[in-house]
Amino acid sequence: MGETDRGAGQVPANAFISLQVAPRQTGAPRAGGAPEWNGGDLNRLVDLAEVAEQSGVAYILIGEPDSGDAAEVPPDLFILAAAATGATRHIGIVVGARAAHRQPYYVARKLSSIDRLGGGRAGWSIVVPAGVSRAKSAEFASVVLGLWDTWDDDAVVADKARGVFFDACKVRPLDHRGAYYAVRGPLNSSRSRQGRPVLIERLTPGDNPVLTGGDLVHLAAGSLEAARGWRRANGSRRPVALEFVLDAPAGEGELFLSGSDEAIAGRLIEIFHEGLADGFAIRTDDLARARVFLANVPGKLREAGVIAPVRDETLRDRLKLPAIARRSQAGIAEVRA
Amino acid sequence: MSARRQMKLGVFLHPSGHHVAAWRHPDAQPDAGINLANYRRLAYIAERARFDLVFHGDISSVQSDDLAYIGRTSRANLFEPLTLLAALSRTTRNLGLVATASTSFNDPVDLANAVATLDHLSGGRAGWNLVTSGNDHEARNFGLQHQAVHADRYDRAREFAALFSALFDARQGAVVRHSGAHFDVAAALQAERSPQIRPVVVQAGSSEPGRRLAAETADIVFTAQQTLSDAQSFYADVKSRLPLHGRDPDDLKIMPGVFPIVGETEAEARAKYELLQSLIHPVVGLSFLSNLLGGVDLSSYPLDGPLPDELPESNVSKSRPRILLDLARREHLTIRQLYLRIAGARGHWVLIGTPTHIADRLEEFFVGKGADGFNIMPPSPHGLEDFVALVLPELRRRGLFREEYEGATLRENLGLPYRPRSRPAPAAG
Repeated sequence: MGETDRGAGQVPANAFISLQVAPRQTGAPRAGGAPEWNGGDLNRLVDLAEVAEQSGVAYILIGEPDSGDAAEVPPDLFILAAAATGATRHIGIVVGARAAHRQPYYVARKLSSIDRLGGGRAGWSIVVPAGVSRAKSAEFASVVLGLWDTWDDDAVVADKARGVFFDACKVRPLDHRGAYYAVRGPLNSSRSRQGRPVLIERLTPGDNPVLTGGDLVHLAAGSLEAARGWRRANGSRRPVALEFVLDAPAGEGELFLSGSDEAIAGRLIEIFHEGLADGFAIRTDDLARARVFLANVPGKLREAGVIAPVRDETLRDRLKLPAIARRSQAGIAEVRA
Repeated sequence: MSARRQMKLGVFLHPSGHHVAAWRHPDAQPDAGINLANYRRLAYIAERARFDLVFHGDISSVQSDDLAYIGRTSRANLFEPLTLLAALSRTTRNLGLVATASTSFNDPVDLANAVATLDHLSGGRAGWNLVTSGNDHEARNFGLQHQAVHADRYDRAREFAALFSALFDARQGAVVRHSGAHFDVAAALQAERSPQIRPVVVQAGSSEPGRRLAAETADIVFTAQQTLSDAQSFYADVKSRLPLHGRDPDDLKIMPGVFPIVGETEAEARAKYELLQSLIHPVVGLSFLSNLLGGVDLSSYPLDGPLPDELPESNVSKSRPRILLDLARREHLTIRQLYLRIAGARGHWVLIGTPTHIADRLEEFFVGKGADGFNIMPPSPHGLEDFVALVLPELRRRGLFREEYEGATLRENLGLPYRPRSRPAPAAG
């Protein structure tokens, strides 16, 4: 997918910062111990997306807890992400939903819809649910990506005079028949300003990638030493955001950030200058803490010239990802015509 | 004595308008279907005019393998309804948000959870329009070659709807256990009680199984009715079924679709209609006619000549081709005249004329027990503005439509009880 080696150790001009929150237990714990949520929780999360946008955060990832407990149903993250998209103008909105138990046609449609609602700033972080094989997840992702590619970038012509809304030569079925899914296509949705949503793959140093088409890696490295090793082994073909858990002593295999916000900013600046990461993925389930972080840290990174102000651009452009043009070759179009 | 009965009104959203050629109208935005600002504008107009709800249809496929035909319509490139309405939830306050979703391929727990999320986000304004998927194009996007037959689809839909309701009706946190022919589920919504307790359920479809399902579970029925007598018999039939399910006839609102073309004068309205009609491309009109005639290829016949005397036998439907053929022969219609008759509004109730004329017809259906309200289908880019500016004042002058919202939730504005009835309404504030 157009990956180019940008050269190990070469520091890009600007880093990005992202915030990852789970909508579960965003309010106070409730009696009975059941993880419940209500409209107040959801609207606080949408409010947080607005605050994150003002702070210069590149994207907010709304994710499911990776407890793997199928009985715990969090709010619908596609709906929540769509509401956050409607409330904001520039910030990237990334959905981190368990996917492979769903219908790929629906997932492709919803993500495409969110991407176009926001003018090209959606992303998808693939979460492999417990009990679902990597093979199934990989096939799921390939179907979704394939459906997004069933329309060429320039398929919609909206030529009122000739009465042609889209060019039939530039839309085609997918005809996927695999071990787990059979999906005909095409998608009933044209491509967005950024082509398709940005694909994020979360990896730990020992993981094999699920997808070949992931645009961006969230690296849960465990330690800076492990991050250095991963970076040496993998180069910097794809941008990497190093994942940190905010405040809470992290679980096994997770990096965490603690101390004053001044100290946190200093640490992130140092890591960036070492060339260890292109960006930072900050995780927290505590929305009040997230607000304090947003008020203090991104501003310091901006002053230090580490992150750029958020402008009116697609998420793909903001992350300096290569464009992913989808155009039929003229010959193919002629054969089909 | 309760307040005077008033119409319920919905807006059936379509980016440039419901006329099949509306996207070619000089005022149509080329990207209207994928432009959030356009939908914000429509929702703003609808809310300011005190409509009960906006509604978005849905099909999970490109609707034909014939891309050259479907490429001449704007219907293959829309937002997904639940995500669109979620994005509108923060810029509206009172407007109901009703999304279509099919029972054929969705998972009932997933869908209930999505609708619960929308209901919480919007403070109690979510609705779900239940449809079953009737075409093979959709089936093939979900691992099947062909669509299930009608009876099986409705069997699944009934089980789906019952499970959907049970999830909302369950005591908070209580696990719903269900084992049936189509679903085997033990699940609980993890949310607090939805603001509407149970979001509004709409049923679109007027077949016998559709009517039965509506009487059992729906709060609103969307239907296509062309004449007062047809509307009255549909209304009487569906309402008479409600007591069999322990429901009051008022607990279900029947809202036929209306395709209104309004002008200050009759001539102006006619001119608006003729402009839209002139924009129907022959490929679109012919494909439409061919489909209704059971897939007959008419492309080798002159458009301005009559239908051929002999048409091949159709294996789809026998009655509809006969009605069309009789119409064409009786009125000596050419092929072009015949497709113009049917393609523009796609079989919906077309009302063309002055505000007084349109208000008269709506009042007649409403007072004559043919409708509790209407689902307004603006035909053109400015169709909603026209209806709001010209027809609503006339309806208000006659006391037939509200001046102000009555309640905080969609259910309250529709005058529907919180269900199940035994549960009290949530406390105000």
